[in-house]
Amino acid sequence: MELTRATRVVAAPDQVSAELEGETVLLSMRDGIYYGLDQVGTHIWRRIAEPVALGEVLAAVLAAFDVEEERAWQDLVVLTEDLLAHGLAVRVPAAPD
Amino acid sequence: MYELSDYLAMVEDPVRTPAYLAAMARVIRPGDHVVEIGTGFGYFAVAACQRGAAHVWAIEPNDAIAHGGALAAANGCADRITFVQDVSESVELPRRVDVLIEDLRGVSPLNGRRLAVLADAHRRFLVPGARTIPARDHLFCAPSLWPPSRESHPADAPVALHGVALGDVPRAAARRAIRSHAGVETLLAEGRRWATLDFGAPLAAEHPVSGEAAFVAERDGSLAAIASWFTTELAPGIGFGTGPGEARTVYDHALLPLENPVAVARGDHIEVCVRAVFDGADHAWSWEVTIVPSGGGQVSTQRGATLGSRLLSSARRRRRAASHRPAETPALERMRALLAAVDGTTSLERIAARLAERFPGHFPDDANALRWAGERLAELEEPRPS
Repeated sequence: MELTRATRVVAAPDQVSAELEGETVLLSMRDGIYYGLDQVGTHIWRRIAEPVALGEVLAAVLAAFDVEEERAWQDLVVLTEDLLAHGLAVRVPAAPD
Repeated sequence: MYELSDYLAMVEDPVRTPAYLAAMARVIRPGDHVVEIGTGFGYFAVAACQRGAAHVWAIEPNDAIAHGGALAAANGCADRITFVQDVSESVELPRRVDVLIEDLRGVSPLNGRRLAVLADAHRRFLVPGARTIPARDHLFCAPSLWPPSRESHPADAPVALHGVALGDVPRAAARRAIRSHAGVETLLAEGRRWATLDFGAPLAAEHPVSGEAAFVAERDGSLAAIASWFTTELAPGIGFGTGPGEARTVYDHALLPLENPVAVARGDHIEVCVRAVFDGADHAWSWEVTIVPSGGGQVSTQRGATLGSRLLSSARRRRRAASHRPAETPALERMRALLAAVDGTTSLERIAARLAERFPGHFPDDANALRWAGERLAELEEPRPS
């Protein structure tokens, strides 16, 4: 299912993470594979510690980094798809109105 | 890296060694072929011969194995033991064997590459229905106070020492299993088993080991860690345990710290979930503790993990991330030059001289290059039975 600004995601429980020098190491507790996040990825990762809409994450990225909105959105979608594909993040149902 | 004295301490353990010897007497049948993985200086290999083994292949990467030949000769079984200095996954045996003996545990049975090594041994070394010593290890845990004799709990650690701010170090230090030999008086409830490792069949090292255990606090106290230990069944009816209250062994037990200790009252429910996943070199641990007050107060949950407890290790792990793109480095270039120089005819001395000539900024002289090249190649050369 395509990701939109209303899509809500959260970090999966089956992982552990640690920050080092502004970057993040993620370890999948399902398969023991490590993943690395750069500075922007780390900013996003912090935001999805709790369930959040991607639109809110995008706003946080735009506030923190000097980047075009369209470019930021594309990068956010790619990263989120990666996190979902590797079981490091999960979708959560939309928040009730 | 273990030293010879470490292997001697393991043999001198008054709990571990008698239990292993009794298990060997029970399990080894006359004429059996045996492999021992992690033989150290060969003590159990000799003991296996004394208990009827026709032949023992004794494998050990550590230099302690250099003492094995003399030990075997002194005990009259030199012709029945083949010592091989290497990691077992690089070793070929001339035949499959009836019995596997090993103790690659550390403070936990999930130590280093142990499960991967045993899975490989099952595939390549053992006959169908082979017997293993140990037969199985059981993993236990219990909610624990912070032992008074230990260093301060990371949550109580000073924020600065002698005018130097400690930053995130105490918090990072909490993200690891801490060795302890505290007594049963530190436990808030009796230990419970959360997982079993059965060595009678191949274990898939890549599968996480996880389990849960539920407790009722038997007294009031500050829940500061989850104590973790094991009991082992070496053979039917023969084994030992390493938990608080047991006779102290070389293994001790581990404390998995809670980042912030929680006051619990007698009757409170404590649920513990422990998970360990193999990352190719060792097991990373995570744990989750939920406290449900018996009086209906607020439920609290704490999580911990060993990831990131060692800063250097974290940097190394970052380089092992699937997304990492390895780059050419001077160290890699030196290694490539070394490997390219190996042709089966050129002497190490000549290879080192070429390296010193090509990398004068790194190797001040030939001797320096010789030591470096010798160490690197010693790790890679084929094992030779001694």
